[in-house]
Amino acid sequence: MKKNLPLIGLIFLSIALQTTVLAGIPHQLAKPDLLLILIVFFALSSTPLAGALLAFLSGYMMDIFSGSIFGVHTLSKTAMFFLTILVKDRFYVKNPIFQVGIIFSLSIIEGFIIISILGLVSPVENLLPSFFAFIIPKSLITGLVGPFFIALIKYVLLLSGGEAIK
Amino acid sequence: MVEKELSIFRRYRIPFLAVIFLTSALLTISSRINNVERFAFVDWVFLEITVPLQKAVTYSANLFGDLIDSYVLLVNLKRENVALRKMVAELREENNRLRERAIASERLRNLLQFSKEITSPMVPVEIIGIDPSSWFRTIVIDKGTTHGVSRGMAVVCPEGIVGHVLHASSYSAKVLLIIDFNSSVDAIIQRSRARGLVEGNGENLCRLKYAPRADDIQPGDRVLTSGLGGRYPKGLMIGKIGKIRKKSYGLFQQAEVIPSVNFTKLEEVFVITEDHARKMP
Repeated sequence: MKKNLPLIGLIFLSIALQTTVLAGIPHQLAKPDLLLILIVFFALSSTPLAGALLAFLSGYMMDIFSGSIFGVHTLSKTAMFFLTILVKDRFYVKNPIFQVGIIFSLSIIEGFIIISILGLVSPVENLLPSFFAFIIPKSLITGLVGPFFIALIKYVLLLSGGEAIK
Repeated sequence: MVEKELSIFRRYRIPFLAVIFLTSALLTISSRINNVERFAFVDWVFLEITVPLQKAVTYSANLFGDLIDSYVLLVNLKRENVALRKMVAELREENNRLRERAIASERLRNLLQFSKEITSPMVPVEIIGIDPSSWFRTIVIDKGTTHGVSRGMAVVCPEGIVGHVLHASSYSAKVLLIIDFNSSVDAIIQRSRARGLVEGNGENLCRLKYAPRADDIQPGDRVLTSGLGGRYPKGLMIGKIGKIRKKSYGLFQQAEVIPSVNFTKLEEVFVITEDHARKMP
């Protein structure tokens, strides 16, 4: 539990960054999804149980600050965690280039999951164009930012007295 | 036997965990789907923990921005120009400060004028957070139940209506903007008195729905709150009619509504603390 406290702190810090500095970026420009990157990091460095709890918490936090269909991000972020667990042994995900690809793919899949749930819950006409307008640029930027953010997390955890993460 | 069961659990630990966590997430959706305004205690705790962090991050970002503006851009200056550049920087800083003060003064004057025009009691609030997802349009404001803000209250600014309070904790509240696709406001066209329902479209526009086909609606018409529904006072500006979609069949016509509020530039807004639902006959 004590070992995971800095990671919980990182979730709160990421959500604060996501809702303030990154939210200030104009609507038309893509913003990286820091929490998705954090979840990939959890999948790479935590135990499955601790990582799943942290991923669930990340999604839940996102839902608290997000719109009114509560639980959409909880589900999508948890699913993304298990998907990363599934692929991490099949690819060399610690390589930054693979990280870009995997985070990009996860972001696309997550967008698809969210769009599907929204479509099921409250059919809205303009959801599909949103997939191309938001998800692809957002996934691209999230993928590109991913390795840098993961390196930064490792550095912050090292500075905060945590163990060096491979 | 127990050893065997443990071995099976260890072998299928990840699928087992996946089933538990994904089911929990689905249960979270299903428990809240019919009660979108429910705000659990745990949500309140997380929100309260994050708000000071948001304020700290915003403050640091502003400080960092100021540092870059003030110092980093000046690094490559020649030594003999330091004094002059310093003076220019100081004058520029002062000029910016005065300009910012003038803009703030103008904005506050407008807000004051607006608060005099609206007879309902209002609480001025500042925006401290914006929805992190691309799907919903919500903001977080710096006042909560301690300041008299509670769920369902209307949020307005001098340009028109902004949205309504979705959840309120002690020192902050989440506001659903009118451009969110879950938002709907009973509206009236000022010129022709035609009625309809204004719904968000998830981007920076709204849509007027359920307006009878025969009603006179033209592009550029001003759309106001009707006062029905009890959430917003009557006569507040929502926006103007854009494109009109009238099919050759059906009972209703649809129109695009361009909100009068620029949601990307919102800084200060008001929460109307009066419960209009109670005032309805």
